Amino acid sequence: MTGMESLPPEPVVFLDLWRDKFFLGREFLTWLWISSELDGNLLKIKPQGYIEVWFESRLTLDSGEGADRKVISCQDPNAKWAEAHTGLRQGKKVSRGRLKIRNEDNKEWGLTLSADTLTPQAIKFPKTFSEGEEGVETEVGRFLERVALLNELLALLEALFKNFLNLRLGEDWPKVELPRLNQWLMKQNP
Amino acid sequence: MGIIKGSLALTRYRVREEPPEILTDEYLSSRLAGNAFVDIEHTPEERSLGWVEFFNHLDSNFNPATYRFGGLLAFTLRLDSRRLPNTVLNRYCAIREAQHLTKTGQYPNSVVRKGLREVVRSDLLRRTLLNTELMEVLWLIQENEIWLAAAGEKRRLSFEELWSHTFGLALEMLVPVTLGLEMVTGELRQVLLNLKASPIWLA
Repeated sequence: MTGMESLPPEPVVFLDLWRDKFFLGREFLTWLWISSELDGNLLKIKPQGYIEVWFESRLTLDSGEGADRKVISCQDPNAKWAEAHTGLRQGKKVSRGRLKIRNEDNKEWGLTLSADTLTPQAIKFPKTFSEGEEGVETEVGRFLERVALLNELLALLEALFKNFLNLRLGEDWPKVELPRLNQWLMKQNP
Repeated sequence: MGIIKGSLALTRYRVREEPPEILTDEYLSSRLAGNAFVDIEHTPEERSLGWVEFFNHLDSNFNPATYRFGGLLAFTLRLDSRRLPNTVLNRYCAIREAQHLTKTGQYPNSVVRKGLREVVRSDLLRRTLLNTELMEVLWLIQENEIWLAAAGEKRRLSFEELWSHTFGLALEMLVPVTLGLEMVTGELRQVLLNLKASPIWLA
């Protein structure tokens, strides 16, 4: 996490910048989905090491902004995603998805991620020892425990996003990464 | 539902300004108490927005022990609102105007109608049940970060309004591009600012 000292020094018009870069979150979620499929759900990120990421049951793909905007919602409990593959071939990108993340300590979070804000929603926490206990002290303890788990989850999401960003802003994006994603998509059923 | 228990949605903000003074208990307690939630249960008010204690939503004394947890500050936003549908208001106004006609033998003029409408509106609002929304807020002091346990524009705007009244500190929501700008330095910042959308499917 970063503090105030690392914020962008120049004044930026936040809403314009946000709207102008809506695609960034969608490209991230699309990259994350395909990368998780490509690498057997196992992604290596710094400094956390190997984490498991898999998308389950729900994906929304979006063609972008404007009057021609088209959105498809795919529900696929078996995660075969045939409709989503077609959407990708039509130029759509993932705008929302239900996914699970498991870290090296075997802690598992479930969440719905919206690409435009990267707001995690319907977060399901890993099971903890203090669950089911009563009392005020335990209530505070449970709260602090959930804050710690939330911090861990956010650190994982930030690390995944940073991984993507380094690729996306680097020279390897068009030369290596995009062909890798396309090769995977070509192998999927039309 | 939220940070304490249940499933959770989380919106993140960065505090973009230094607080006007160190976040002392006196400062925080006075700011929170000055913007505490005011009960509108028995009034005709349509909306009340304010802070309540994190673990006790019926209290707003803001003893530091209720909001300070090490490097965390925690409080809960409470928004009570009631909505009176126009169709209901119009129906009761028509009844009251008919009563006026029976009583005085005269149709009410526009001034009388306006007065009747206000009385009816106030009367009905007092009898309309309140809708209560609670949103937990965490301030991670070290990270200059705020967590709002809610998502969606309407909820965000309610929080930003109360935050602005209470602390007056500029906030910036953490979205992909602002998060990205915090992660990269030097030339890459400019690359990110100039970045255009890339097609994923190249065929």
